[in-house]
Amino acid sequence: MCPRHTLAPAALPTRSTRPPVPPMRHPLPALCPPLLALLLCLGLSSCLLSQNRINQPIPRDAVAKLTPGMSAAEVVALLGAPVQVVELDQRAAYRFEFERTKQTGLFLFVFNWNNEETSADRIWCFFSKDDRLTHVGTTYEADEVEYGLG
Amino acid sequence: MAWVERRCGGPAALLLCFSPFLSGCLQLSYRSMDRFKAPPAEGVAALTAGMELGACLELLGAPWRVLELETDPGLILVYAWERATGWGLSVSGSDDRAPGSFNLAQSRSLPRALTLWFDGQDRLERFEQGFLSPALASRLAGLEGLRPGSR
Repeated sequence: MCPRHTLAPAALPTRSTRPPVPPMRHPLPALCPPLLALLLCLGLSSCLLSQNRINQPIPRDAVAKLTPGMSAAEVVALLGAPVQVVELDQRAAYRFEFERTKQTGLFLFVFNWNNEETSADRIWCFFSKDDRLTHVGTTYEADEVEYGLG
Repeated sequence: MAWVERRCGGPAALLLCFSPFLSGCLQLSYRSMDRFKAPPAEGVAALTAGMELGACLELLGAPWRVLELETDPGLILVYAWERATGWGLSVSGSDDRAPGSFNLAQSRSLPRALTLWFDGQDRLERFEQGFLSPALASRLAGLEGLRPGSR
């Protein structure tokens, strides 16, 4: 119990005689200033992860079925519509492509760090004058794209 | 108040220093971009004139773009990839009486290409590796993506 409640009113200390109250310690001083600045920075930071895909993935099992001599119609039936057809003299080349982009961003206080990486699965099919498949070039890199701040 | 003055003099000064940043007056940025990958080095090292188209595709994989030659019945395969980096500094003022801004930016782009020329019989005539040339890039204009560099 507080001592002042046990004393008679006459014995109550006057304002001038009251013992000085020790200054109240605030919990923040221990944080000041570097930690406060760090907390401020963390509070203002954010990050970004995004992924963008163009076209549909190219099924590898369908690509494995490509054989020289197939007609363009058969190739299209297997892989779907090409994204580009290049007329080469009397021949043609079809491009099938699936592109993936991963973007990573870090916003730390006033600093904005952004990284973007793009890779693709790409198939080129070359046809002869009589519309028969002669060559196929394949590259699979879309799965290799990664998030990061490199 | 004495405690505030005594203990928060540092943070107050800190906040005062950071106030331009908090109000968006100052921004620093760094950006990097990678588009596609270079063909395998061992494949490039194995290229020799006279190779057949199929063998080249086997070594290097699918090209980025295929073009026809303007004068001959042959074709061109282009393998292209790019690494770009850049940074920027932006400072702006918010005073309506004297608004102003300052922007400083620098970027570096390295669009690279491996170009293969084939004759009418699909035999490799020659190949060249370096920056994506403006002449080639102009033919590829409209096909999105890489910007021309200087040889």
